[in-house]
Amino acid sequence: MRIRFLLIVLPLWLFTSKLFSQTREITVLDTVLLSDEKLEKFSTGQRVYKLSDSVLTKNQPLLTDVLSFNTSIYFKENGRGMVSSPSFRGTTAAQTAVVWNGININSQFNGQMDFNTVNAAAYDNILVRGGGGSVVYGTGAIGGSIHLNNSLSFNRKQQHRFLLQYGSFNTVDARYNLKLAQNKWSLNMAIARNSSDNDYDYPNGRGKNLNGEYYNNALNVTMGYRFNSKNVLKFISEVYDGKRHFSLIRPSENRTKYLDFNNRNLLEWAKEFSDFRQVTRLAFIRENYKYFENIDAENYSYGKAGSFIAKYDLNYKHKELLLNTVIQNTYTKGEGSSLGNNSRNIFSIAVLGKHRVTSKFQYEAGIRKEVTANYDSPLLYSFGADYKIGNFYTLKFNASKNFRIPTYNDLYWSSAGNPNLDPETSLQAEISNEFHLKNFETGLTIYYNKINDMIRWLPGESGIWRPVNEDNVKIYGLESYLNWHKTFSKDQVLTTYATYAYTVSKDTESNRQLIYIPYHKITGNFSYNYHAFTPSIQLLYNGSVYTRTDYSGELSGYFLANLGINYAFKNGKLEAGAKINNLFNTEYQNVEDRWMPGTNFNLYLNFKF
Amino acid sequence: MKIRKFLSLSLLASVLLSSCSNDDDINEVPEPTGDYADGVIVLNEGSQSAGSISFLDTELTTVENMVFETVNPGMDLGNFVQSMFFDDENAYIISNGSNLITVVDRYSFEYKGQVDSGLNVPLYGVAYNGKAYVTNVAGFSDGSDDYIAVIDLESLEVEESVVAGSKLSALQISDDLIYAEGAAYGDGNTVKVFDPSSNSFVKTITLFENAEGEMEGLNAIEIEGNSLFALSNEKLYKVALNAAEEVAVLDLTSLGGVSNLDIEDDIIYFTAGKSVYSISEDATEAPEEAILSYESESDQYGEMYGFEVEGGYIYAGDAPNFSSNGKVRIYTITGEFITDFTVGVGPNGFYFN
Repeated sequence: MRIRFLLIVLPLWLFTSKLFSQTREITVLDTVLLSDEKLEKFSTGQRVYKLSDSVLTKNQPLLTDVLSFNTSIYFKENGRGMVSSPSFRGTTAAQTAVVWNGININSQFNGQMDFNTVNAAAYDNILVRGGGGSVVYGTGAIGGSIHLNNSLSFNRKQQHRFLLQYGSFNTVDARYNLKLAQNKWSLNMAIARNSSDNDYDYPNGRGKNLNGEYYNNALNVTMGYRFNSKNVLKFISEVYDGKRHFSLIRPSENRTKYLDFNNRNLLEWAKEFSDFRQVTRLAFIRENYKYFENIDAENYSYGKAGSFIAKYDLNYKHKELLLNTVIQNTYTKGEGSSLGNNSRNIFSIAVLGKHRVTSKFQYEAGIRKEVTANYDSPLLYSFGADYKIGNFYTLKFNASKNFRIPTYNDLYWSSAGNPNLDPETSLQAEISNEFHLKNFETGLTIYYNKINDMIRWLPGESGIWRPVNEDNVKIYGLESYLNWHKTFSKDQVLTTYATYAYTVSKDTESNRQLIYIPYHKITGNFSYNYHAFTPSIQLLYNGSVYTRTDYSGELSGYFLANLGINYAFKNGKLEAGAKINNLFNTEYQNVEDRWMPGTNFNLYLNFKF
Repeated sequence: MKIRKFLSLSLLASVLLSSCSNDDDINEVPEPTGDYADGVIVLNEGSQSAGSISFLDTELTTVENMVFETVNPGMDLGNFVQSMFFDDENAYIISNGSNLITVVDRYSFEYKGQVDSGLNVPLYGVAYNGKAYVTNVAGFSDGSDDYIAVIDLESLEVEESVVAGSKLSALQISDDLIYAEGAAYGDGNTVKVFDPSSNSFVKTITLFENAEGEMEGLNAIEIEGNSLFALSNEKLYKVALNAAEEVAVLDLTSLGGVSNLDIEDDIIYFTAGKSVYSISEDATEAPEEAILSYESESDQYGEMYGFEVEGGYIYAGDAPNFSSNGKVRIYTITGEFITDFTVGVGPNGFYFN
């Protein structure tokens, strides 16, 4: 029964030939500095999907909601707003890398990102790349990676945006964004708050969601100074402060709460000379959590970790050849209630090359090696190619070896941590077919992924659970999407974006599908712009999932629909809208015993001036 | 007259006799009725979802899972079903993740009520004189707030909470005193004696002290006759329940970490890893050979999650990975395999009707 304790405390997851988003995007002639150039330059053979600013404002702010309805990533969410972990292409929670402005920010403690502790309003755009990415992004980029980006523009402007949204369960979503730029200076600031009483009724008189309230505040400041066209200094700083009470299954349970405080800072200096471009980065990332097992008591368990990252990136471009070396050192110091005080240092070197052979064919290759005293680091590598056949068809191929390193919990958990763990490794390959017609785009990717040495906590001697490199998993599946927008007249535009994913993820020993990974997932977003009105509908289907490894438990699949209407006032400065979520009042659970809300509503106003 | 006298006598006699036979009926244990009056109750702790109860018939031929849900549709027992205790009529099922004690008829499993306040991670209980005494962990970080909840079995309300000042778990009752294992989750070194007449802890028996770096911790107690047996991961302690409280110690370190204590017909049974051992009550040396050992199965973990010896059989509960159904294996006390059954997730205890 010591295990219970552990389980409670341990929970507690661009460049395609053309960028697009589900809404029309006007190409802005602007010098926009992307914060993650690598993604643009080294994604040959992979698809990068961009959730633009306008998509972000039309969704709920928690990253789980945004990604659930717009991508093939499946989320296991412990009730609305509670702990949420992703399964990207059939992988487990720690096998999706979350990359903040080019820096991997998965938790040092459990290797995951809780997607309900990210407020999407703090970013200008979010990009999603399926498939391996450890050569560039390091640990966890196995199923895919999520990129949270802030961008800067040096075109003179002053723009304020204010979004105020209010909905059922006293849910407040307030976002303010300032973009201020002069020739040499640029400032981009985002402030967001999201809170909810989250006291919804469970379907069929099963009771109420008790102790589910939460709030989070996010502040992001991005500043840039351009010395000249070849010399730019950039600084990004972000604070996230969140408090959640974890909802109860039964009223008699102890009420718990969880506090997150995260702080991320990045200083970046980019300089160009002759055929070279060098980017020097210094980053300091801090994560901090406190878990109160009983809100009536003072006791809490905690974890805090700080990482100092120094990164030097040298890029050489000559004609159609691009060569890139990235040297990085990450020093992490962490401590926690059951972890003691530990530090680790990881030095890595990556070499990447890309060759555009013709305007129709390009390929890239990369290798990465890490040096650390913590674990035996395998050589990671990747290869990708794009081949454009005709005007409308592109064939892509990508293969890579990726890994997920043991976490602080895995290595140092008192009397249970296992210092002899190896990283989990993944060997994968994918082939994509993309078709582009005028207003129509569709793609189909098939992939295969073999993951070895998966780390799992299992009961050992005298009932103490310890992590071991135990499981091997074989994953294969397909991802597809369809994007179409049609202009019927000047004021009438239909936009659709839909995805479908089929995922088989099996433990090689039992030959059974992993729990909480659906075979099928479908998303659909349809909007019809009719003069000032834009009605829209969002659809989501999550197939049934097994909840037990022996298939003795199962949660049925569910279908959700959200109906929205947006009205744009003539002056172009104000939009107002309303949304009905879970239109058909579907009764569903995403995790066993965790009922989700029925039909609920929200209203919003969106100012821009 | 004679006849009348006889009649009145016989009437008197018949009254007396019938009242006697009525008395007999009261004293005699009534034949329990109910679908689950005769057999083995298996508690399944549950993991991501509520725990459950399985039932084996006395002939050990069939198993029925989800007994409580079958009898009481739409209800469940709560998370992490830890243990159960009985009085004559009722079974009290403790779930530590939900701070709940569910009261059911012990022979039919029909729901009768629940204790749903005043508990804080409850682990074990005993019923005595119309009250129940239940140990509670409260905060996990230390033992300072562990307490015994005194529950009125009529109202199902917690009447009093008595803080122990050390960790608490299993309970035994003997001579109107309650003996509490002064340890939880294998951490602790005492037995605390609780007097239900005054609702207070009256004595602490300290069995050993850990020096720096030592990891000895109690994991089971049992009272047999006038002796209290306490098992740590390393040793077996036998404490005489008399004024002198002599302690005999048997070192079991040679077997690796030991756990699960059960004494049946003067034989002490316990487990080490995947093996079951037995010794006599006054053994002075650790046993060399196991009665039985599991076949090593690479995908099996959580062996001996539940363990009990009763009526000539050894019952062992296996919890493969706590996210799939567990298994109950039954052996004779000489180690001969009888049968096995698939039960719910995490079978952690056996009880007998």
